[in-house]
Amino acid sequence: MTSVTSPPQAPALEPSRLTSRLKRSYSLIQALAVLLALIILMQIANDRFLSPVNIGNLLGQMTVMLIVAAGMTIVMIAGEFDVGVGSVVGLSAAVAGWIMVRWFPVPTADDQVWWIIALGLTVPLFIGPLIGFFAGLVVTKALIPSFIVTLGTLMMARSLTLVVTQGQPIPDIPNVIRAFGQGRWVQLPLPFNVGGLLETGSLADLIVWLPLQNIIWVAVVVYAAAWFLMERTSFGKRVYAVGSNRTVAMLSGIRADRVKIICLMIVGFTASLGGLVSISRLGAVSPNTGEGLEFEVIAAVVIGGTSLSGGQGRVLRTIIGVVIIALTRNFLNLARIEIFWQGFATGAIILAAVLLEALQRRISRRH
Amino acid sequence: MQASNDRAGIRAEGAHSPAAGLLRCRGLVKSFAAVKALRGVDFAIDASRVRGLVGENGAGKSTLVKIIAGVYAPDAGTFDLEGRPMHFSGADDALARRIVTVHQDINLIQTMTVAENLLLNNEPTYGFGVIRRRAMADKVSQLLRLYEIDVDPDAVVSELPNDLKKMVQIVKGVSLDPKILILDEPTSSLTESEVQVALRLIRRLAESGVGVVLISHYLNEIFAVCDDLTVMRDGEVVADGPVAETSLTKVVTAMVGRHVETQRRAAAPRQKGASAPLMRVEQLCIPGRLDAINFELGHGEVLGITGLAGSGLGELAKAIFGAEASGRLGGRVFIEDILVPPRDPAASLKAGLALITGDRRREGLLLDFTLKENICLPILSRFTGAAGSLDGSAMTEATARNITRLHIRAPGPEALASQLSGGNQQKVLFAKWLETRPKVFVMEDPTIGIDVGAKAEIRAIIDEIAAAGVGIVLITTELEELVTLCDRVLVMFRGQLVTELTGTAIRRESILHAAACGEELAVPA
Repeated sequence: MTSVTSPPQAPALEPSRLTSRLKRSYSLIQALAVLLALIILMQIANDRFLSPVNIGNLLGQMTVMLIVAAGMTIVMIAGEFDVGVGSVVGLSAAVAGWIMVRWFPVPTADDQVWWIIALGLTVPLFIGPLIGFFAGLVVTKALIPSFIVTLGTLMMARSLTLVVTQGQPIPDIPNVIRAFGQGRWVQLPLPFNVGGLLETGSLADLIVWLPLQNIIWVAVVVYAAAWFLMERTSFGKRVYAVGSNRTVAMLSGIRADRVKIICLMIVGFTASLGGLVSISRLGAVSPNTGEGLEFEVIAAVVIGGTSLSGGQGRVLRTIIGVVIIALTRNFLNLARIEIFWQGFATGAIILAAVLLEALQRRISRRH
Repeated sequence: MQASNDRAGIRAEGAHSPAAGLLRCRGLVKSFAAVKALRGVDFAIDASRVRGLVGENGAGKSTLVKIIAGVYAPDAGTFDLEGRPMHFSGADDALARRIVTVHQDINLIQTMTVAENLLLNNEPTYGFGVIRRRAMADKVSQLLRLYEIDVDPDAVVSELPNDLKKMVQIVKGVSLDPKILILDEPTSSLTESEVQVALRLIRRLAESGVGVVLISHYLNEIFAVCDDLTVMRDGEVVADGPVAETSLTKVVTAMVGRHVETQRRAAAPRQKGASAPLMRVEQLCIPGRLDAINFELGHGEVLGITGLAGSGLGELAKAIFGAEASGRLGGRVFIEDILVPPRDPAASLKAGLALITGDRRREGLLLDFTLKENICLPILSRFTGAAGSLDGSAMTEATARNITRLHIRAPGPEALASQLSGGNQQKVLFAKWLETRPKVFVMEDPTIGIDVGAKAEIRAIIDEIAAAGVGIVLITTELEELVTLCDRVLVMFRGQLVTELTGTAIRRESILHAAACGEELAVPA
């Protein structure tokens, strides 16, 4: 080495707090703007779009994606991917269905004993973490990119799903489960009905009652937990540190491998939970439950502002990404775009989001 | 290829006629921001001669060579190539005029064969990019035969030993048919016997008429192979002339210069009865890099370890901390006679070790994170309460305390690390590790890339830490630091600790000599 001459130090810039905060929340503003534009578009396309019933339905439809995206955000902040989540959703649903319906067959959907139902609700929850643990070991010990490893688990889990279901749908899920998933036990009061207020003049009419599907509360709990984990615990800080700079983290005494494995187990858990929610919502298991979900979820996480290279991202912002993806799909349906084109549109959105992220990274590096 | 043999002693370049040299620079000046890297340098390269270029780190060698290679444009000064004034517009331009640089790092494509590497982007073709395979094979075997390099042209580069890789890299430079060949530390990654092969190759090149510039820290190599020698210090040429007319001692003295003897730190008062060492390192090794390193460290002692780049110095700190990446790390580290679990940075941290890395931007700090997050990262568990929740206010308080204590100039605990100047970032790094309350501090170039004022502050902090009884292993190439801060200095040479200096023997000359030659300075000065 000739010399370790230090490169000339650029004078440290001190950007004002406001601009730096603006820059940091730039992607948030952007995502919210896209969301708003979509909502306006959809309301123009169909004036019943913003009706309470439709909103409730929409939220129910996106619940599984929401739950899985929470885990995906965490694993992507840690700098890894899990492209196997769709299959894990399918496998968990299939195993749950098999336990509750096929294990000890009963004449009708009302007759299943409680402990078998309980077993059907708990056993699948171990499937995702187990697969995540296995994938994490391969990723961290054999140093193979998680994208490739989970491509393997994707195919394995899908195949197991077909084995468990024998390629046939499993209908007749116990009624308790179905009743929870399809029920709307709580209505949320929202003070948005300005039209009603003007019509009658009574404040009570300002309130709209939003009938929420029960499964949405599962997503709410998941996001509350994920937020607390990432923002308020030392584990969360470690995840950010590992994803941002593995060397710094390791030299700070953080066991980076362990953190990554745990993150892959977390995303596996959310996938399994997503599988249970999908059973509960549909009242049946299809052998291709969750197919293609992984890429929609990753797209949602990226649109929500999580960096593809790890270390940056916010769990709650992922919600915006999921809503954007779900609304786009809904919009394509409403606009009567042929179903065959919908994958093309989703793919284009993913590409656009990723390109935008890369562009932003380049801009921010220049400053 | 006539050799210029009209040189008469040191600083004789004025006596030259311009036609004798291939390239002549006069009065080169180059500054980076406030730092003057070159202050009026005259330099000449002659055909058929090897010119050594030596100097301490930061003397300006790199800058000079990069100007010759067209990478930088000089701020002032003239530049003649074969008698005609020149102005390079970029590295391509210099290359087109057959000025070739062989960089220190082996930058070959590891997955390609020797032949493919040698003629990369220079392949003989039929047109439309279709490669003439026969012609390529002929050209490669001709090159390899010419320079007597015994390697299969179809061997994949990654499977070659280091010395052959280096040879291939040099031949690749040579295949561009250079008039001037600049070799930047060609031997630093080689073993003793491999060095001899490389030096023979360099001589052959010169005999074939090329003007060679050899940058090396290994003075005995310079003396073995060079015709002329230029010594640089602080951006100036301090000695210049034929090698035959100078000596090792003169060169070392010229490199070091007449420094004011700086004030030494008072030797740490040895704790009575504390005969047991604080840390013991036994047989630390990484095959090919570190060779059975053994040393002890006392309470409150500042132990300097130095050596040239490539001597294994760069691997040492991480090896002690158990964070060496290759997984071939061997040896044991004891702290207060308790074995530190090997190859586990988390366990080292727990055992009371702290590491300040030399690359704070890539290995030390999370630049996009706040000071609070950076400082509290290794000790998060201390702030973790029930249900795993973090006590944010306690973290803020700890950070604020450090900001005051180490005089970190920052807007506050929530400022981003990237907003701070280099010196203040370094203080954050110190704060981060001080908070872990270490018994032993391993520091790698703790004052690299920071301004003079901050350097002094960092040194004061180091002094203070040592005074508190913490043992410090200071791994650095800065002589100034070794001389002023250390109680004891160990010198590394090609992966081994070769010399121990204590007390008044810690002088620039003796350190430099041991690092460059692998042996102690014989003559006491």
